[in-house]
Amino acid sequence: MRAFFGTMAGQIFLILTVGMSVAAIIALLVAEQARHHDFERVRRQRVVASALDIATRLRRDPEGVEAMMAAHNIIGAYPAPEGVALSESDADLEKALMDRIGLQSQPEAGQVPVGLCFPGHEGQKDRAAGLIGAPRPDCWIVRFTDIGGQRRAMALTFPRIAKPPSTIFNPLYLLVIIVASAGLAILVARFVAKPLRRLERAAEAFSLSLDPEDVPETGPEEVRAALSTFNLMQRRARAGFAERTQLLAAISHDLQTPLTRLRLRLELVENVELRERLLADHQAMQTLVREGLDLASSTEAREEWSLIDIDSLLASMAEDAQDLGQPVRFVSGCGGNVRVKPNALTRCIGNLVDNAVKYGGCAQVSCARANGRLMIHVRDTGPGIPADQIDQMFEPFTRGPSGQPGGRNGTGIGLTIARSLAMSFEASVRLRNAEEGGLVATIDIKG
Amino acid sequence: MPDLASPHGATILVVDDDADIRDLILGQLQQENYRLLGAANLAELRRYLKEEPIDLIVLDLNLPDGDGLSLCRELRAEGAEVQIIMVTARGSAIDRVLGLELGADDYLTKPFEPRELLVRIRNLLRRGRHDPAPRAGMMRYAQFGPWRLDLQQRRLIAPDDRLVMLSSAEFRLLNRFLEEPNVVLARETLLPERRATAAFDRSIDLQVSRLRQKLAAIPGGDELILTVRGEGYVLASGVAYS
Repeated sequence: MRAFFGTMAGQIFLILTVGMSVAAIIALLVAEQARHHDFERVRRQRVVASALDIATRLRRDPEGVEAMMAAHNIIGAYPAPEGVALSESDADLEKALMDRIGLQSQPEAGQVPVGLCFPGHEGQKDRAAGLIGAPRPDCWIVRFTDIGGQRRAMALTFPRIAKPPSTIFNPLYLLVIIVASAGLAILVARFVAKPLRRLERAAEAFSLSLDPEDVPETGPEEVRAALSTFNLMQRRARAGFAERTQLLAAISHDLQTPLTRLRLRLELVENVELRERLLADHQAMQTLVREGLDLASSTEAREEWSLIDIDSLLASMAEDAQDLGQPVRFVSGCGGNVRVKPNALTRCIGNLVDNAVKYGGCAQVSCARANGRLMIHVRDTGPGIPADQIDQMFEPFTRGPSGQPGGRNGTGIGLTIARSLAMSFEASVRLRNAEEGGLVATIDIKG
Repeated sequence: MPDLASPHGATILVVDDDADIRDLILGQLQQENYRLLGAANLAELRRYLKEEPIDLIVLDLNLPDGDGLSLCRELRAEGAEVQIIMVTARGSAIDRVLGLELGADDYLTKPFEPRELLVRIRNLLRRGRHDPAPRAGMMRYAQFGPWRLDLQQRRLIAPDDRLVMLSSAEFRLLNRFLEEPNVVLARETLLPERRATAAFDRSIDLQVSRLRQKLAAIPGGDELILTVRGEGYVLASGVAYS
């Protein structure tokens, strides 16, 4: 759960769900307020309409209407009881009345408890059957001055309108809001996280392989822009790398002509001792050139991918090395097949085996599968490498310590070539010191 | 020291645009009893080919007026009998496999041991162009039973294109069987380099059993190599090349 909210999708989910729920609830509250306001307005309009009606009648027939009111012959309009103070006069209502009756009217209006309207009729409702608990009418006191200068006062009653109950705190509504927000949030989080995942996969492929495919530039504009920038970076990095190896290849390649001349001329040296030494020097130079070319060609992943029987490869390599008298053993296999570039893998293992024999005295090759990966271990029984120097060993021209057997003799690019070869089939090479002593080189392949 | 086995009077043409290298190679070859010619480019080479009977060309591939490969192909297309040793710098686009495929008889990378060049020239001249050329140069795959053997990359290919690797010894052994399918081969013919002791040598049995194990990994792959008691082994399958 914690991990989920640590992801971007989780955070987007959280922000959107909470944010949208809060926004929806606030909007509902505002709507509720507006509804309340409208409700009050409708109630006041009733009062205004009724007051105007009475005012018009009074103008036409003041005595008659007053008598009817006093006798309770008009339903909903009665003479106002004396001595009732309007404790809370309704300013909005007064303004509406002033607009309709006239500026001189100086209206006063307000709602009062229904008991005050009919002081003498307290027990009246007891006389009606079935009305217990029925809503009592609303009662409004309205006073104004009519055109004739006469101050009028009346009590207006209306059946109570019950305001429909508020829906906002209904749990069903809240549930719908939260579920809808969460659903939308999940969609958005997925939508946003998807291109990032693609980019991440592409970056991973780039870190493992020197020759990764371009990422397809699809999706929304910003995503396309990011992917296209990534592809550009990838191409530039590759171009820079290619330039470096081309340079190395060109130098190594061109050195071969003078080396050929030198080799042929060495045949003309008659002093045997001198010739032997020169031949050894020539041999050293030639090895360097060859490994330089190997390094350059190792980065060119031209070879086709193939499925190979991994045990047959390890067994046959060990056998070939034994035929040459090298102490190489194939200890344990792992069965099955693996998709690699076979020649690159062969040369990669070959380099590690050569190193093991040269620096560690022997090589034990084994293979193991774990977590969907296949590991080829090449173990020696030599002194190993100090832990702080292990990473350096992959740098070109780094050799084992000179005190070691074989140290200072190689060119120091064997491991660099091995790693570069491994990258060409999306594998990696690691070194570690074994607990029982000796160094273990591991090729870690997918599958 | 002149080698008695080398055919005397053979004409060898050394083609290299680097005058130093050309002269040095010619100097080396002078120890032997050959007739030697040098050419710096394709034009000179063609002229010599017209004017002289040439037995063997030591051909550098990078020449100023064209590459040696197309010439090699041309000569083979014309059915020329001249033998060709291709010489290239390591790491060039042409590797051994391609070189041999395009009609060279042998292949060397620069810088080479002078002695090695001598040995190869001697071997080629002795063998002669009329001998059957090594199959590997012409054919890529040998099909037997359910398996295909890639003769150049030295690998077994299963029907589902899965690769099974062979050690050099296993490849040699299998190749020997493929040369003479359905013929019983005695131990000593299978391992000529150990002819003297082959009759008692168990290592050949071990190798055959390993090879059998690899071949038996797919259905129909067992019973390809059969033991003939007291005589040796036989590959019980037809072989088709492609």
